[in-house]
Amino acid sequence: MNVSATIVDGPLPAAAAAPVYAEQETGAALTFEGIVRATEEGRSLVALDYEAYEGMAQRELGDLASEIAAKHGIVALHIWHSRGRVPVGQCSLRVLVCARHRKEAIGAVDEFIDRMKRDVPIWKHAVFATGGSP
Amino acid sequence: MLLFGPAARKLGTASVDLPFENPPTIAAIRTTLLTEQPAVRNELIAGRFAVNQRYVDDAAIVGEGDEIALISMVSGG
Repeated sequence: MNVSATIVDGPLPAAAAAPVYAEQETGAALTFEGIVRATEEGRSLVALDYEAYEGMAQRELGDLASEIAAKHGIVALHIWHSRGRVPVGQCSLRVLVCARHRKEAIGAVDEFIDRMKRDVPIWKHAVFATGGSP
Repeated sequence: MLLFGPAARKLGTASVDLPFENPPTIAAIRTTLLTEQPAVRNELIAGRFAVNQRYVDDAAIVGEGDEIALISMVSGG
């Protein structure tokens, strides 16, 4: 089982167009990307500012990835999450999961994101086109 | 005590002092802050606390030098 969690300053760089899956047990690979939408509650958005509890956020992401990978029998689970400002249209979260089969890959991504939004100490603040935040 | 997200924005600070003479429990900290910092009432009621970067329950006792944080309404992703 190969697991990693990385917090990156600013938008996440584009993923490799044709990644190489080193784990020979991989039969299904799934990449989820979270993108900053142009509107939030009907208001035009410029960006999202992500705030992370330094240290704890990274560790919680890694612990959660390990737990989810073990639970779903995942071959590899890699997480990248932004910190700081991410403009509209750019990527702030990437989850790459490699599994033997499709169902466990999809289940792992879904559960990971649900749990992350509940447990990992990262906050986002909307930066609106008209200035200010809610 | 460290503050993040909505709690930090509402109070306009990233930390507040906790005036306890004896080592308090998390429950005591929560109760005291509900009186002293009513602006973050929702965050105190719904939020969790971390001590030394680990989530703890209300029975946990905080010692001198521990890093305490209010973790409320996380919104990553």
